[in-house]
Amino acid sequence: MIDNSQQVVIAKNVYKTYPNGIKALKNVSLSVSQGEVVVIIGASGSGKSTFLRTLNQLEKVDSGQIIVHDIDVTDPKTKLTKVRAEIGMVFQHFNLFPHLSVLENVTLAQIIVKKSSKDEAKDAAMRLLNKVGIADKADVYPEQLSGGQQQRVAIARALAMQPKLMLFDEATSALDPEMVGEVLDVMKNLAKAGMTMIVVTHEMGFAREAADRAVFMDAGKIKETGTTDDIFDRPKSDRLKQFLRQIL
Amino acid sequence: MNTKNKILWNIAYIIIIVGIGYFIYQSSARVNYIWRWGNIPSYIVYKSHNTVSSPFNGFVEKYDKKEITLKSTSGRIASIHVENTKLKKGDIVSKSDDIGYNSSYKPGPLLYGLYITLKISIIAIIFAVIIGIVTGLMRISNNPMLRNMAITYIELVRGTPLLVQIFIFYFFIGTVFNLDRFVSGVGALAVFEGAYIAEIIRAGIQSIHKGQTEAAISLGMNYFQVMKHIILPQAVKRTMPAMAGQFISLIKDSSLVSIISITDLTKAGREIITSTFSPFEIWFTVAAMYLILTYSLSFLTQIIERRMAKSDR
Repeated sequence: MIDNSQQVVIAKNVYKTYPNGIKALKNVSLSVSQGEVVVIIGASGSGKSTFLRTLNQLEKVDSGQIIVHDIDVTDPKTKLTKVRAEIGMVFQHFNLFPHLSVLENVTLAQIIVKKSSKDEAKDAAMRLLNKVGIADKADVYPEQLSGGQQQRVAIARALAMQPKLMLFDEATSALDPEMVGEVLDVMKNLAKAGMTMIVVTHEMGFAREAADRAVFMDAGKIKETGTTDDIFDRPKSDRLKQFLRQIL
Repeated sequence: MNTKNKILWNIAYIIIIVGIGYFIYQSSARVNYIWRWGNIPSYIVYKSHNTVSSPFNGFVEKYDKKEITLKSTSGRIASIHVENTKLKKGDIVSKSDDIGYNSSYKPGPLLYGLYITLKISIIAIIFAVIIGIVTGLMRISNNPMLRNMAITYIELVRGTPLLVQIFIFYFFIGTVFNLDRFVSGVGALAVFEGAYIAEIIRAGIQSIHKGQTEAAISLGMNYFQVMKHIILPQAVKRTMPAMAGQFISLIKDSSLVSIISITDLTKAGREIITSTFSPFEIWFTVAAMYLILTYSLSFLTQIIERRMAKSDR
């Protein structure tokens, strides 16, 4: 399923400093192939979320180059709205639109960005809501849903744009423990279906089962990268060994 | 607090209100003021008499169901609607003689003034909201030119009295651009309230979590789509109470345009006083009419707020 000849993401020598002077990324380079599922692990403040957010330019970089789907997103001339529409992003706090119903959350961007007709958008939305197991809640408002349900809607909302790449930024960290499973199941199915995914997570079970590769970040740098078995069972650096001891 | 205590306190409240009313009445008696409430309703609505005159020389043939039928000397017949007449069958009328009158209810000067106040307020509110949204967005823009323009406008408007702004609008801007007094008045009000609405909108937008913007732009929406579909609907809803307060302020502030001779409710009141010498009654009536406007508005916004809250459930 992984097509190494097709690089979906190529990040080269990315540096990022926040306005408060914190150096979040120091020379990060990473390539992700078509159909590959990569998990990024690391302590909080290691730069893993920042790196994910540079891929769709929610965060601008100081220097370095990021190419997504053969488009240089770090080039100021690039029209970002078009690139972003093809990158699905799922956030830790869901960020559903509270003034719109579940269905409207999933159809809005299809209608105003992708210019789908209302009927097309609705059909696509219902199909996706079905897929994430929440079609019966199409007409309710987000605040009536549990965290796990909200996150599944958020995944459907991102998928509705037919992205070629999905980014998950600690998608299960804000959930109550009993709801983590339902969201991870959706993510696993997505991985099995061949979606290219970059997942910032602490869920080792998910990483082992669904991921092709794991990346360990520490203090703004990629410290170690390898298969999930390499990273979790045969860590090389002391920092990674220490990190794994803390989270397991 | 138990029910018995609540009733006691409510009774105390009524006693205080009645006491204040009595105090006002006694104070006016002390200055030998004679209350004349009898005339006041006619300044709100009055009955007008329109006299009807005969179209020709002739006589009354019949009067039935408020229709008078006249027959001229040359045999012409005319049926005319007259509600009140003293003529009887067979009475002789000459051309242009009064044959009676019809009466109808007409808005008095106070009601007409209320209409002008309402008209000024509604037009000014519409423009103030447009100015407020545009300025509010400029105020939080990353572009220093837009941001500084918004800040300059807001500070200038909030730092000077509305009365002075109305004079500037009328005597300077109005003269330069040849605006009539109504346009000047509405313009001054809209510009003044727009600055306050801009700050309300700015606060509303900044109160929306930045995750909303991030989610929207990561779906490929551009700035205007994010504002129109995601941020402004939530911000406007959140600022409804503050907005309602500002609209009520605007209605009250509109009384200041009477200074440039717009016959709004306040000016109508002043004009009536010069002919009736009943300032107490007129000002109390004018105050009550403003109160009806402002209270209806706050009642309306409460209903809207409740309905909006329901859409979240």
